[in-house]
Amino acid sequence: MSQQSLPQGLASQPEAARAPRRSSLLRSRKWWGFAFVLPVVLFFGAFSIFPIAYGFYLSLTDFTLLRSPEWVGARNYVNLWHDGLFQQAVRVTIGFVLGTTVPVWILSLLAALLFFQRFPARGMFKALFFLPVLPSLVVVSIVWKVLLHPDGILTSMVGPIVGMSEINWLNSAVLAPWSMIIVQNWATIPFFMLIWLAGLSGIPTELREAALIDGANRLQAFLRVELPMLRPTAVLVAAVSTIQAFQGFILQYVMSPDKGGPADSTTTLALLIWKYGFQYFRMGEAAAISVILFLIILLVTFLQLVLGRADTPVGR
Amino acid sequence: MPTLVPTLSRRPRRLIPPALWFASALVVAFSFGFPILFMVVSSFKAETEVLATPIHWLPHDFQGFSQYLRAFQIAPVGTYFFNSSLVTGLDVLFTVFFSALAGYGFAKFSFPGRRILFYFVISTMMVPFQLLVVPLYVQMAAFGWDNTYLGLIVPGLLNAFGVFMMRQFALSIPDELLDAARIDGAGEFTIFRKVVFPLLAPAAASLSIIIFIWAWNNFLWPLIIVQDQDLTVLSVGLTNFSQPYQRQPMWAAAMAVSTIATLPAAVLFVFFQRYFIAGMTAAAVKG
Amino acid sequence: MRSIERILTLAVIVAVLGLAAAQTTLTVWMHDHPPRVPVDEELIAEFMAENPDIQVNYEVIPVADFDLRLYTAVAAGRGPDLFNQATFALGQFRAAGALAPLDVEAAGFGSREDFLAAYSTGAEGAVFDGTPYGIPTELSIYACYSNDELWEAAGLSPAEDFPTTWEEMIDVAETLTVRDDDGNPVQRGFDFNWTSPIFVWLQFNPMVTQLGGQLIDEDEFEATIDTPEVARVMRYWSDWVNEHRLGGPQYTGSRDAFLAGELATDCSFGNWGVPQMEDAGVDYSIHPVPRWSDAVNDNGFDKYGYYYLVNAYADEDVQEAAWKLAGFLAQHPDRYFEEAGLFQPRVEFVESEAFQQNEIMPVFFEEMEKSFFSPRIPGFNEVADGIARARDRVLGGAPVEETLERADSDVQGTLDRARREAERQ
Repeated sequence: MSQQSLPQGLASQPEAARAPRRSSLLRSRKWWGFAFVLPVVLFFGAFSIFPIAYGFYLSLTDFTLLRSPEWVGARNYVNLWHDGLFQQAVRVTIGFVLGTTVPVWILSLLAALLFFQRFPARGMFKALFFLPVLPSLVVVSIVWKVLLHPDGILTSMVGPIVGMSEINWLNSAVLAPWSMIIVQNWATIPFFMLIWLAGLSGIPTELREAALIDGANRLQAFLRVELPMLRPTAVLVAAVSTIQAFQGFILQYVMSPDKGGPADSTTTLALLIWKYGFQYFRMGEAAAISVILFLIILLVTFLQLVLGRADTPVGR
Repeated sequence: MPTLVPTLSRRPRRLIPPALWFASALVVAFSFGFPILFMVVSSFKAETEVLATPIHWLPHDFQGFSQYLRAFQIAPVGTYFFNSSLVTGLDVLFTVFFSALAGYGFAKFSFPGRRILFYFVISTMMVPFQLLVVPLYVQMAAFGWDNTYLGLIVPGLLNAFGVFMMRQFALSIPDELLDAARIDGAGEFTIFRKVVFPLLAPAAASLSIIIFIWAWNNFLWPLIIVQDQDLTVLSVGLTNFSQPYQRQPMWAAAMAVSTIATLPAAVLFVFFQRYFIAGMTAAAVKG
Repeated sequence: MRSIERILTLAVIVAVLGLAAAQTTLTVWMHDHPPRVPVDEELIAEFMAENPDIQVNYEVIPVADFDLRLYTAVAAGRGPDLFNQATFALGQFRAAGALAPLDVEAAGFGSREDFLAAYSTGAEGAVFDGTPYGIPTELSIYACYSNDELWEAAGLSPAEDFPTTWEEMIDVAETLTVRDDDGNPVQRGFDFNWTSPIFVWLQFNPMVTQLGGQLIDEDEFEATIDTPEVARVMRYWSDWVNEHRLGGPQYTGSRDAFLAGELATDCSFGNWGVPQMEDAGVDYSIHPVPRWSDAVNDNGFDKYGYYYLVNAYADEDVQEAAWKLAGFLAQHPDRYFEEAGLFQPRVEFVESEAFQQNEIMPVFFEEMEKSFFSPRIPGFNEVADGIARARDRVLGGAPVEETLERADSDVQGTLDRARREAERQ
C-alpha cells in the first residue's frame, strides 16, 4: 500500500510536509518519536495483528471452544462450499448488498441535488432529513420494528393500496429481506447525501455557470460538468456503502424473528459468523467465514483504490 | 459545514421554481425524519397508542415520563447507561491522547522503521471487525477477560483511524515552532503537551465526536464479550426491548429507551455541528 | 505469661493454615431460578458445616448465555467444578469430553444400579452408553392447560370434551376460536408454541415419535427427517396455520396468549406453570397431550431435565467433593418441590403422600413415564434451527417433500460434524 492509495476523503488535508525536515535536532531525538508511536504499535500488535493471524490459523482448525484446536487444513472452507446455510447466507448478503448500494447511491445523490438548491426553510428540512444519522442501528431497528408491525403504521399506509389488512413485513421469508433493505436505505441515505453535498460544494461555481451560459440546460450541465467532477465522491460513496452492506448485521440481528429468520431469509454472512461462532460454537468455520468476508471486503477496497486513483479534476 | 453556493436561484432562466423544490424537500425530509419524530412522540404515549392506526400524531393519552420510568423497571437502563458512558469516555480519552501522540510521532520524527510501523498501524483500518471477532474472543477468554470490564474496554481503546487523522494534521505543524520550543529548552513531551496538542485541538474535537459515536453505538463486541447485565452497555441492553411480536408488547417503553440512547448524539449534533459533520465526513473513509 | 500467649497464637495460626491447606474449594454454577436459590444456599451451608474440609463457592448465572459462559470458562480451564445443564446441552458437553462420569460412591448411591433404582424416571436422561453422568435437579414435561372459562363459554366441558387425538383437536380448536370479520382469530382455541426453535424438539418431535418415526437417530448420528411420519406432522402443522387458520407464528406466543386469556388451550407449560396461571387469574385444568388416532407410541410431548454435572477437567479430589455435594443436595426432593416447584423424581418422594395427593403432579408424572427425551446430540440447537427453517419454509408455501429432503441433508451435515466430535475422544 502506497501513500497515494489511502482513501481520498481526506485529500484536502495537508500532505505537503510529508517528509519531515531533517534537522539535526530531530535526528538526535528520533528515539522520542519512536517512544511516541510505541504504545499505539504495541496495542495494534496485540489487539489487531495478532488476532488477525490467529483467526487465519483458527479457520484451519476444528476449534469448538470446548476443545483445543485441531488442524484440519482447508476442510472448513471445503465444507462451507457445500454448506446449505452458507450458500443461503451468500445469496442473502448479495441481495442485501445490491439493494443497499445502487439505490442508496442514486437516492442520496438526488437528495443532495435537492438540498443543494435554494428554497425557503431549506436548513430546517435538511436537519429533518439528517435525523436518521443520529440513532444507532439498534435504535433504528427497534423503531422500525414498531413501524413494520403486521397491522401497524406502515401497513395502514400501504395496506389499502395492495388490499391487505395485515402485512408480514418481517415474518415472511419473501418480504423480510426487502424490509431490511428499506430500513438500511433509510438509515444510510442521509449520511451519503452529506458526502455528496460536500463533493458538490467543492465544484467551482464558474464551471457550472460557464456551461449554462454555453446554452446547456441544467440536466446537461449537471451530466457534463458536475457529474465527472464528482467521481472521487462517487467512488467513496460506492465503496463505503458496499463495505457497510457486506458487513450487515445489526438490522438482521435485532429486527428479524429468531435472528436471521424467517427460514434464514435474512441471515447475512456477518450474522452467520456470529451464529456459527457463538450459537453453534463452530469457531473454526466461523473464522473461515470471516476470512472469506474479509477477502470480499478487501477486493472492494482494492477496486475503490484503483477506480479512485485515476481521477483528475475534470476526469475525461 | 461547507457553504453552499446558491448558483441557480440567481439566474433568470429558472426552470424549476423554488416552490417545487420546497414541496419535494418537504416530502423527502418528512419521510426521512418521520421515524425519529415517531420515536420521540411515542415515548410519551400509552402502550396501546403506539401501534394505533390511524397513527396518533400526538399522544392522546399523554404519559409524561412514566414510560421512561417503566423502562428503568423493565431493565437496568441506568446500569447500561453508566457502562456505555464508561466505555465511550475511556475510548475517547485514550484514542485522542495516544492518536495525537503517535500521529505527531509519525509526522515529525524520523526513526528507523517509521514507515513500516505506520503502515502496520494503518493497515488495521482495512480489516472488518468480523475478522477479529472470533479470535479476539478466544484471546480474551484465554486472558480471563471475557465477561469483564477489561475485555469489554481494552480491545477498543485505540483506533487506527485516529492515528491516521492526527498524523494528517500534525504534518501541517511548522517545524520552526517545534525547534523554537527546543531551543528554549523544553523537553519533548512538554513540547507535545504545550505546543503540539493545542494545535491539534480542532482535529481532536472532530475525532472525539466520531469516536464517541462509534463507541456509543458499538454493538457486536459488547454483545459477545459480556453476558452479565451489570456489564451490559446500552446498545446491547436495548435489544431487551425489541421483543418478538409474539410477546406482550412494551413498545412505548422501548421508544423511551431508544430516545435516551439517541440523546447524546443529538446533543453533540446540536452543539458541535461543525465538528460533528467534519468528523462524520472524515470517518467515511474508514467505512 | 507473654510467651505462652505467643505460643498459643502461633498454634492457632498454624491450625488455621493447616485447615485451609487441607480444604477443597468447590466452585458451583447453577442457572438462575430465583425460588431455588435460597434452598441451594441453605443446603450448601448445611453441607459445609458437615464437611469443614470443603469450601463451596456458589454462583448463580443468568439463563441467557449460560452456555457461552460455561463453554468459555471450561475451555479456558476455569470452569465451575459442579454445574447444572439441561438435556439439550448434555450431548455437546459429553462429546467434548467435559463431563466426568457419576462417582456413585462419592455421591452416596453405592452402585450404578442403586443410583438408577433411586429414581422413578428421568435418571436415564444423563446416561450415555450405560454410564450415568449426572443427577437430576429437575425433571419437566409439558401437559395441556385449558382455560376453563373460555371452554365453558364455547359450550365445551374441559373434563369431558378435551380431545384425545390430534385429529379431534382441529375441530375442538375451531369451536373454541373466535374470529373477526376477515376470519382472523381474535381468540384461538389451541396453538403450538412457535416462539423458539426449541419447540421443534419439545412439541414437533414427539408428534413424530407417536407415529413411530423420529427426526434424528441419536445413536447413529443420522438425520431421518425425510420420512412419511415427519411429512405427516409437518403437513398437520402447516394446515393448522394455512388451511384451518387456527394459529401460527404471527400471533402472540402461546404462553403469553394463554395467560392473557387470548388462547383457550396451551400445551407448553410444565408443572412450574401453575403459579403463573394463578397470578394471571386463569381458571385452568390439566390434560395429557393428544395422540394420533393411529399412534404407535403412547408418548406425550418430550420431557427434559436438568442435571448436576461435574467438570471432567477438575482435579480428582475436587471431582469427588463435587459429587459428594451433588449427592447431598439430591437428598432433598421434598424441599425443592415445596419451595422451588422443581420435581426431582426420587422414588421415595414420588411414593410420598405429599406427592401422590398433589392435585396436578400425577398427570405430569404419568406423561413423564410414557414419554421420551429429545435426542441428546451435540449441535442440538443447530439441528433445531435446521428443522425450524424447514417448518417456516413449508408454512411459506414450499412443498413438504422437497423441503424435508433439503432439511435432511442440511441436518446430516451438522450430525456428521457431531459424530466426528464424539469420536475424537
